[in-house]
Amino acid sequence: MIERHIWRIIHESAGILLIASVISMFGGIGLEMMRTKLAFLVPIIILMPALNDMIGDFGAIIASRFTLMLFEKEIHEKKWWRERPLHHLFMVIMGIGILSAIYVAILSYFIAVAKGFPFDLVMIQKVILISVIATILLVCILFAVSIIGGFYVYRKKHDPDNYLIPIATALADFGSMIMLALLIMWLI
Amino acid sequence: MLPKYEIEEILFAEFISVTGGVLAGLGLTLFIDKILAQPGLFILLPGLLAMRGDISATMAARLTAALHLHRLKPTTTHSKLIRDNTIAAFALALLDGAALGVVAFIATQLVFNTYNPTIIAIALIAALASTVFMLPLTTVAVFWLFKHGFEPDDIMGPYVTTIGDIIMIASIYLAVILV
Repeated sequence: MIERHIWRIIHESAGILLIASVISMFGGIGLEMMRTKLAFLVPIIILMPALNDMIGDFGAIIASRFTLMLFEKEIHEKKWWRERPLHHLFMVIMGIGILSAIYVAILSYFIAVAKGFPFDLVMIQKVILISVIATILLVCILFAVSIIGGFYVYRKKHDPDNYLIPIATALADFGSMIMLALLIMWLI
Repeated sequence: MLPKYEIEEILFAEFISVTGGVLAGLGLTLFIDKILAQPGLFILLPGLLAMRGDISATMAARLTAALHLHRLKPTTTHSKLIRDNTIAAFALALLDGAALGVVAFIATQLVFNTYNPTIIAIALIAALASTVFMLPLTTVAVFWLFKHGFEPDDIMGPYVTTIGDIIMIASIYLAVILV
């Protein structure tokens, strides 16, 4: 017989875990559609897990910081777009995001070149562009979801952390793969 | 407002995290021919990569809370609470791996009209193999950090995603070879 404590962990985690995993996989369908192109895009394959990681981390940071600001009453629903702490958080995350996106694109490209992928100045620019555009768009989407969802959950007197973090990380996993697939289709 | 030291902390953690991600990506390129030979593996990939955070990071958070609440002693990793958490994490990995495999199988069949039941076995083997390595590493890291005066909650997130990616890619490789 399964002990109560073990059963409780499984029972409380299984639902959200399965939902988050399945949402993440929808992004994979976009990648699967690009499989023939991906075979020749070694830098993008190297970039993929790093971009996925980065956006997931930002999802968790944005959601938890936004929740804290709500609890500490640093931001208010009326005219939230004028709140300085929110502007500051957006600028910090966007700045770190763009820096990390450029760093990871260059690193991926040079590792690919070291593995025999031909060096091409146009191609490296495209890889950097894909990484930066995906990051900018996804950071904006994550902020929008955190703000809209955060105020909604907060109004219902629930803890936004419990909802926003799983939603933001699943959205980041799904979004980074879809965005990558769309940008490959568009740019390469 | 975020203080300067916190911005530096996020920046530093992020650079470590994405560098680990690049290493995982490099691992992927080592067996790209095998990935391309398995229809549906790209569908499976994001779900499997997300799993390391969902299972190991959650376990790390539970253990950290238990240490802070004195329900666990930082001097020993042998306790019923850790055993229960490990069993639960294995069960969740098995459940998640099976679900991911079935969804990838159905999506491959419906969207790409390709029949590949092997993808279910790959998902299950990769999920279990990565969990075998990740859970002891997570437990030991949480205890080590706590004993040395660090806050595991602040460090385990980037640690789990970075190490987890590398271990998960190696586990997928193992699964692809085995099937």
